[in-house]
Amino acid sequence: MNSALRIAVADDEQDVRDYYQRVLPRLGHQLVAVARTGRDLVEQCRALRPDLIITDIKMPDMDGIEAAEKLSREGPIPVILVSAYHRPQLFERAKGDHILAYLVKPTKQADLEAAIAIAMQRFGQFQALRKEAADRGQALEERKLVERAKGLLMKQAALDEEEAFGRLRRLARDRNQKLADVARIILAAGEDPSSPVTS
Amino acid sequence: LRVNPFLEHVTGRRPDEVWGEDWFAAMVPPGERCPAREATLRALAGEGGEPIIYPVLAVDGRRRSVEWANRALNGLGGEACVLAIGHDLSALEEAQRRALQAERLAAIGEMVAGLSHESRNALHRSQVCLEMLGFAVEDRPEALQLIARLQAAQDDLYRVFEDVRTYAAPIVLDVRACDVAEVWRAAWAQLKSSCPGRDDELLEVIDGVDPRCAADPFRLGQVFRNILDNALNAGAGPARVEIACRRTDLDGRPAIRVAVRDNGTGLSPEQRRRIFEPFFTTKTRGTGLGMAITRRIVEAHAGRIAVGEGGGPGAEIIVTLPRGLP
Repeated sequence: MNSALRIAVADDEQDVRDYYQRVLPRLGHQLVAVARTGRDLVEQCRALRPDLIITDIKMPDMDGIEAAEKLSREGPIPVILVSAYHRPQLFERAKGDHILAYLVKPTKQADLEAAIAIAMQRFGQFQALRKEAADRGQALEERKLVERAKGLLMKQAALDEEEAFGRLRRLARDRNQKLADVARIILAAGEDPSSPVTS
Repeated sequence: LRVNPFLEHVTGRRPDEVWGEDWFAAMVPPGERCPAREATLRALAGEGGEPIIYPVLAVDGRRRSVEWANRALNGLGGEACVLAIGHDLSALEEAQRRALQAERLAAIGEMVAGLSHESRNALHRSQVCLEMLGFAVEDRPEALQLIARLQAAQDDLYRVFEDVRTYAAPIVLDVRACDVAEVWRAAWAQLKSSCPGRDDELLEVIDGVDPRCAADPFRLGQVFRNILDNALNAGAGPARVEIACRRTDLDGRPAIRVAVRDNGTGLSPEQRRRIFEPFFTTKTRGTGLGMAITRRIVEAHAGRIAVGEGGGPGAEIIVTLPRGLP
């Protein structure tokens, strides 16, 4: 179901690291980083930016939750936690939206397979929502710019609203630019640039 | 021998039944008769004011622990008598037993919590190595067969371990308004989904009783899964389980009484007495913790669980839950 994912794993047990090296390719994925500690995981993932992180929680020098948090601050990344602990305090710490599954050891291949599939679906949905929110934010920002540029034109060139908007659109068409970009130029210049450009 | 009605209350023996009998032969368990008799004789001789504790036998064969104050009495037609005033200690001893049990559980809980992490880690390492071994011998069916058996044994070990942990861990309830009928239906559906194809039947007798109470639905689900699992496996053929619900009260508060009866072979006297004891089981597999956990959960809800008294071929388990928690 998932196309091949580039996966990074971390666990302080050699047996478990060996296991990931064998089982993940069998599930059709590529293992790009194998870490023994939280810090090791952060360092390797900074350069590699894997598609998915699967990490133990309790490890020397930095735990998996902290490592995942550091990495997610640098860009969205899905994380599956695999731990022998199941304590409410840990669930509380694992509430960041990058944590998409929490498996309690011992786990079997089927658990891992299902967790990877669900985590990637959720992550896709999260990303779509994030993009939608960002697009809306940008559209709103652009409309504000156009409004302000329009206001400036109305004041400086004594135009009514319709005329000011018409001039903005003409400018954008003539210069082959987006309305918001023309608005940005007008606001930066603080004056009506139409005369020097069109003359 | 003359007794007052309190004896009947404690032992179920009617005064006219024991009238004129030898007290020790009639009421005291064999191993306890000597010290009891001696204390009484000392009192008759006018010495030894110390109270003595010895049990009396109830009609159902159970012992009731009683503290006796003996005093010589003159009168009653000139015969030498002893007035023995008994104070029933059974409730006190039961409370002590419970306190001790709680203490023991707390100690086990602490130990198991400490073990929990390391054991799960070890089981996980065992699990991943077993799977890797499976990859390595994929082309050898007899080796894979052995791995499957090893896996089953490991799963059993894991289950035993988790059962002990669940039993010993402190029970923290997440109480909310909860439809008990919904809970048992979900438990039934879940059990049935793991043994499809059997022609089992669940009958409900609710008769307009409001099946709601304040409870932790997840924990209550465990209660009904354990009870219904026993009911489903109580006999050889398809199970016919009846759940009857009615209003009652518990310690003066409104409560709901749910009786689960199966059509199995029923319970022996020993099973009736010991069914809620930890590690008591009649199954060849299993830890014998299911019903002990069930009792802990029901009691955490300030409820009661008991084996039904009534006749009938199958076993009946009765859960009584207060409507709202105190």
